Amino acid sequence: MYIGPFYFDTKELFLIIAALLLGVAWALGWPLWWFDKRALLTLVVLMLITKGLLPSIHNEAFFILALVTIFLSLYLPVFQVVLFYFVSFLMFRLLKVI
Amino acid sequence: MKKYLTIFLLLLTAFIISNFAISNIFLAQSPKINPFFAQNMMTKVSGFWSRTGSFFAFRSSTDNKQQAGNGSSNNNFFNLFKGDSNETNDIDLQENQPAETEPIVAQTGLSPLSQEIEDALATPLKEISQGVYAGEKDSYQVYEVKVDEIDSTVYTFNVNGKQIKIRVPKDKQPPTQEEVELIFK
Repeated sequence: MYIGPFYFDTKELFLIIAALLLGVAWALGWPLWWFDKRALLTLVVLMLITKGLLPSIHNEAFFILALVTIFLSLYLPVFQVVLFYFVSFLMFRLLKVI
Repeated sequence: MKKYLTIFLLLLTAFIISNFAISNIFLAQSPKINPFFAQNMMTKVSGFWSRTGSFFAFRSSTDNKQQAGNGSSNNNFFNLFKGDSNETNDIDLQENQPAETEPIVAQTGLSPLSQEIEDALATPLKEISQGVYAGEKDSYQVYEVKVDEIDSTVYTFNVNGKQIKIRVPKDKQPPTQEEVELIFK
């Protein structure tokens, strides 16, 4: 699907919708069990940026990385999760997994 | 299948790296870099080498003693952990050494002490303050601190998620959280 000059695949659109929902939940104070809304929103924005910068990345590996990162945000401090995401992403890229 | 294994291993490696970075490179789970990171690493590495050196020095000294004695292939170091007291006693008797030497060597993990130091350590000590004993022989001064005899209060500090207990004599002020973090970071 093209929006202006940009092409979005289905997964990117879902990610954007998720980010919008999180933003609305945060703004309106909707409760979100267990998860920290600010941490989730930060992670989704980072994922959108990394996915946007590298549109040819392999979706399955990226999906696993995203799931693990979101799950770890339940237990670890945000900075460690962000660090984990970037280190994983870098290694995935260097070893051509994505 | 190989792809999933690679992904799992990479995620595990990334987790270990981030865990190490959080507890060593960065301060208080923030992006601020620990200015003492290199210093701490040097201390850890040198501490590791020092412990390894002491271990090998002790192994070497006990092996040499065994070779000079009965030539047995029994390993004295591991006998300490096995609790096989008969074999250890045999070695002591054969070597005909003072009984005090073995425990000191075993406790410190250092090579055997010189006769002068052994004599100084055998000097009777006088209590100079609560729990602190001292004595002197020739040019050697010997101090012994018996921690259990000192009236003290145990303070618990939390540094990087680890509980650190510090015993402070009752008439002394406890260290502040910042001082403890500087020492145990």
